[in-house]
Amino acid sequence: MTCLRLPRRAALLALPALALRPAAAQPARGEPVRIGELNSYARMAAFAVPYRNAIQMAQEEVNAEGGVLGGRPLEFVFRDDGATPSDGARVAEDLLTRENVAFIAGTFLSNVGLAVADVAARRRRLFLATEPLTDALTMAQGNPYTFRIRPSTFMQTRMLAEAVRGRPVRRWAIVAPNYEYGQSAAAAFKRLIAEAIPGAEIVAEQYPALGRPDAGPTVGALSRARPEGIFNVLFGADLIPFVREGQIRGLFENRTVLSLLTGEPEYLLPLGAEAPGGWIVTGYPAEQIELPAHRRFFDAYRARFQDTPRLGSLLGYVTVQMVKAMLDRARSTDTDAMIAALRGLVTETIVGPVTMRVLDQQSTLGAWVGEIALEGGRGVMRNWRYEDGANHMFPEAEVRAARRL
Amino acid sequence: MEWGFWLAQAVSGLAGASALFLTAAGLTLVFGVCRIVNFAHGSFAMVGAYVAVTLLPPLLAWSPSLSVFLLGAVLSALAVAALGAAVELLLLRRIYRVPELFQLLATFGLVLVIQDGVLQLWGPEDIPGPRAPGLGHGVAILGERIPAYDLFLIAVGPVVLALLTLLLRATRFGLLIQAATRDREMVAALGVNQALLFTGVFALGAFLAGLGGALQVPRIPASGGMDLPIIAEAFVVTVVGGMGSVPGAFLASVLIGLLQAFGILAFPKITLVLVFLVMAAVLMLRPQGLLGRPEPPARGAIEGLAALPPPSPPLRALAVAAILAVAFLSDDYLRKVATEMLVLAIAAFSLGFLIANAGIVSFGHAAFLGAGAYAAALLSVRAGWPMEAALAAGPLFAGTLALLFGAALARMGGIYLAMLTLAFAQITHAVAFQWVELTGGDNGIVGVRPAWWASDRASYLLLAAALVLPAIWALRRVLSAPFGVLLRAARDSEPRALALGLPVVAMRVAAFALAGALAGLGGAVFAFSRGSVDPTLLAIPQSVDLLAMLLLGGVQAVAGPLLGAVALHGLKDAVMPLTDLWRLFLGLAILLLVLAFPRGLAGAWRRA
Amino acid sequence: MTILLVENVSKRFGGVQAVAGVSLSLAPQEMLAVIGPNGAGKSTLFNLIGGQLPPDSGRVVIAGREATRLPVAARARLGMGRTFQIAETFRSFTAQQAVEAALLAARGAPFRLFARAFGPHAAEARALLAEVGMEEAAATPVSTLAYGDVKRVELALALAAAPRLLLMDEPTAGMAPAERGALMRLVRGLARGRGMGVLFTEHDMDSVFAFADRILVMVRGAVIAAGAPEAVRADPAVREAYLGKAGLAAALRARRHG
Ligand SMILES: Nc1ncnc2c1ncn2[C@@H]1O[C@H](COP(=O)(O)OP(=O)(O)OP(=O)(O)O)[C@@H](O)[C@H]1O
Ligand SMILES: [Mg+2]
Repeated sequence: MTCLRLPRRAALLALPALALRPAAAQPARGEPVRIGELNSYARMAAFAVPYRNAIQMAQEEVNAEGGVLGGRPLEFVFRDDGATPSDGARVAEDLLTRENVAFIAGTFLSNVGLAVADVAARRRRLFLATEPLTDALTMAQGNPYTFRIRPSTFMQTRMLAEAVRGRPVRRWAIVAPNYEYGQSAAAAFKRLIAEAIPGAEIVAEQYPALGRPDAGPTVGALSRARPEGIFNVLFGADLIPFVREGQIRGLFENRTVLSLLTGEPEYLLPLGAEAPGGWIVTGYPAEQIELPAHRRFFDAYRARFQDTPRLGSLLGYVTVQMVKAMLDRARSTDTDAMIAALRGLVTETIVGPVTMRVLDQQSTLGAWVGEIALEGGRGVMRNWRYEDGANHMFPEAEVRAARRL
Repeated sequence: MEWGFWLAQAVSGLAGASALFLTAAGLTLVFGVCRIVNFAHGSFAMVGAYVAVTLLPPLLAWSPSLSVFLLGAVLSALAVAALGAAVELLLLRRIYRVPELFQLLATFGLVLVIQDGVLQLWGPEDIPGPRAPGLGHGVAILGERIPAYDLFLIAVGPVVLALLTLLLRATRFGLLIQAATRDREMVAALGVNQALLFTGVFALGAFLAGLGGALQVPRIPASGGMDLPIIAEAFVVTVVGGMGSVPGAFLASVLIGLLQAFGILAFPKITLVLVFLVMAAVLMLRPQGLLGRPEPPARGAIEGLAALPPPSPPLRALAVAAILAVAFLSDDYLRKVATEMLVLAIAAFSLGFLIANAGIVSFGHAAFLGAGAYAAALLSVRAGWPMEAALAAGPLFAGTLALLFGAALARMGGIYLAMLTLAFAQITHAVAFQWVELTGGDNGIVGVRPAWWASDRASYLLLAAALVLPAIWALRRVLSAPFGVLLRAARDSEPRALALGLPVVAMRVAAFALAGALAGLGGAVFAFSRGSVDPTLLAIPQSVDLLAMLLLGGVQAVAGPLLGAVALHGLKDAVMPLTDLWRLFLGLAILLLVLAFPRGLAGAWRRA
Repeated sequence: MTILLVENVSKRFGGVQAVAGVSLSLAPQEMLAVIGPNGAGKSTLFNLIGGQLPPDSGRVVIAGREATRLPVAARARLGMGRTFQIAETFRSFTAQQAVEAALLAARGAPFRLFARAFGPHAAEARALLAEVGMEEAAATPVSTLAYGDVKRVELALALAAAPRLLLMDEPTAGMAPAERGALMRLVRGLARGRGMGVLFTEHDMDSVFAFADRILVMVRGAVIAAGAPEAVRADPAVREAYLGKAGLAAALRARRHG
């Protein structure tokens, strides 16, 4: 509950964020500010490519508007992180050593993110982790050089648990992929659901192996426990078979289903007409968000890439906004200055103000929580609302304990 | 209620078994006849799924009936069969004469190429397939709704088994397949057109893989990451059933399908290792698999791989000079890359020792690299040991682990031994992956820092070189010492070695321990260089990388594995920054190298 | 004294009774031949004695020690050496290296990690190669030798361990007739000189009747006759069951030589 709110004045002090106003300033010139961006472009293309698209778009806009640090252009240097921690750590060093970058950013997979964060700590350079979800990145394995933008596993799980607060749903089943992401989401859920619903109990847990989506036995094992609610952490190629099998076998009928990430276009679009109606999910209802800045972003992205933005796109765009705000505040590319600028930085992003909390260096970027509904042969999020990350962060005491502050 | 549940669970398991069987049957046929362990078989299944999700929607829009659905599945499988035939004609045909491991490597190159090819053709998003007309619903049985398509799939397995049996028993093609599976030389001697037979079998295998992939699309989406899980399970089924045995593959599929379905009730987290536990258990009890024929040690895998020859002094000077140059004249990044090359070189070299000199083909050598890395990281980060002690503990721990593996494995031979090393490595991987409290799970352990005096990259490179190069030279000495020579003698002829009174099994266990310890040394060095460790270090792709380095470098010269490590790591490093398509280029490079230098780079060097 | 005692050993493969209650004994210096048509069970008998296969019943005593359940390597340490029907040699070595390796193995230091393997036994290896008539080929890779030469190298490997009991499964297969005599003479010389007992099978009846002290005739797993060459040759059961039509000519030829 306790979350760090910066005083209003700090928010006002933050320099005006970039927006998509008609260009008034001079285009940026001079020596570019280079940023090393590494991500799993080959292995996780569905997420990473829209993300890169949006970064490129935002970068061009920033540069058209006069760039950063008094007119220098931003220049992202994109690299594939090989989707393994070893490759990621090596690529990070390559960027830091040879590409003359001011700092590094990116990564998708949690273990790659952690390995790169470790490189950053060792080299005493800034790492802006954009996408990895693992709580460890800002908690037990957190380090002073690593900041994360996307709401973490814990935060998103908490949003879902809050969404059913007080409902008479006591018997819960958990299904999660058999690795850290799944396990820590499950652990967080167990704890949070007990707070949100007095007397809630976990009656079944299933952990199918990632990429081995034989959903039948899993669905059977879950339905056998006769849960009233299901907390799902499966995503991507593992989710589709689970949804199909569950629908055929009536697993979701008359049950409350909470599902992490399923509302993100990355995962909702492939489900097509089989999107599971009624699920309560975290996600990103891109085409429904009416904030003017976001609408401009949405239209510009569509016009340029002939595609709807994905959550990755939003994240890429917001990343550039935060980078610009940070550089404007730091007034240099000195690592210490950038870190000092990031801590407590409030960025006016296209989805509202986002603060980089000092304590755990986790941004308050939120997520949208809503219900999936079937409309026109595809799933959309309905009854959604933006959950500000600030309301769902780890309690300060826990952060202090985990980070040994 | 409970009866309905058990039935539904069994149906799910058996439906999965059917799908698994189709793919595995193709793999086992190809292995039986061509003796190729086809890594790309899962990729064929993936292509089958992608073709099906492309082909089926228009077909079903034209006429939504089950027969059209089946027609679409068969057409998809035929497309994959054509791809398989092309692969055989253009690629494998050229390398039948080289040792079997090179063929394995070539098919691994193919995996990389197909991964990127699929991404380019079909895009990155998962594509769910249409449901089968008339089978999209659930059938109420004993109060459970059971997917009708599962019931259909259950029928498909035995039907395909029957058709295959008919093909094998009643056609000339089938009889030739059986004969070739039993005795290759005999078929060659009969004057059969072997090339045609191989192409035919490879196309048939690809067809079955494609069919397996296509028939899965109503259940699972076509996705770019499905190839490796499929091949891993198909391998297990093939090995458990007995390589070359189609009924064995069926039996094993059913066994594994049912174990999956019921095993998760008791152990929800067992999903990761279950199949490998089954494989290890079956092979320990029945080394030739359920219905397989006892196989003589697969000399074919190494035939033509000469053993590593004794040292040559110029190499030593060259290596030292190169490392000094990098340490003092280059940048930190190159120093890191050079350190990693040293790590990979000792791992590949120790693998070469195991394969070429001891005749033990290991598909799981990364387990020891990873074990060394984990031991060093855990002792350093969790127990606070100084770097020097942690570095020493890495090889000790990895060597001990290898000793245990070796003791369990050393009586076996050939492809089954190789598969068992894979299973053991996977089990080790699962321990690192799931013992979260100790190992941090897949997040791994971070914050592994060298001692102050080795903390800059140049010093650390020199330290790594000071550890790794003497280890390499020591191992080279071992090659020409009684132990190495007699190990190779036992590789050449186990009956002769035994008849001379050699304790062959104990020697192999010792070789395993030695190779494991050296790979573990590499791992420990790597842990402090990267600063973190995680389970990918001991996963299958890492083992394949080591194998690729060894084979690309060649084992005709000591320089081979070293050259391979430098070349492959350097290649990856050079290609990755250039393009998202680096897997494609890496795969193509492997294919070209195998075709151009089927004896490895060092072999080419020697001839030149 | 006997160097080898075999009592009533049997071995069945599925439906085939490959060896059916065979007994024999062998004295030092003695040359005992086992003959029989293809599939008679000779190699199987050798494998039971050598330890390559476990017998279903019966026992094997080597140099006075119960050896029925001993592993192959342990029998080797009791002084048994052997050659195989299909030669088992070290293909990736030169002839000289192969014999040196065999000498290393026989001297028992398989776990020495840093000593030099080749060199210390070079002279001895050359002497052994000379004995089997292969000194010329010392530097030739075994894999490129003609089959008859491979068999000779194999004999050298077996002799490297200075066995007291030597089993030879068709030692002269693939050799020219003149070479056969030379090889068998060598073996007989060693048997007499070192007191080595030799058990061998041979399809070349010339060699058998010329060099065997005693002959054992097997048919379908069982011994149908045993005794001195002359007695065996005269045994009508042998002539009928074994020598039959094709074998008769050989036997007759052998008599001319004998
Ligand atoms: N491993 C085995 N499995 C099954 N049957 C076997 C096996 N080894 C031998 N046999 C059978 O046992 C019988 C005896 O074979 P063996 O090789 O001992 O005969 P042999 O007298 O050595 O013949 P040859 O003169 O051709 O070498 C044959 O019928 C053979 O087919
Ligand atoms: Mg024989």
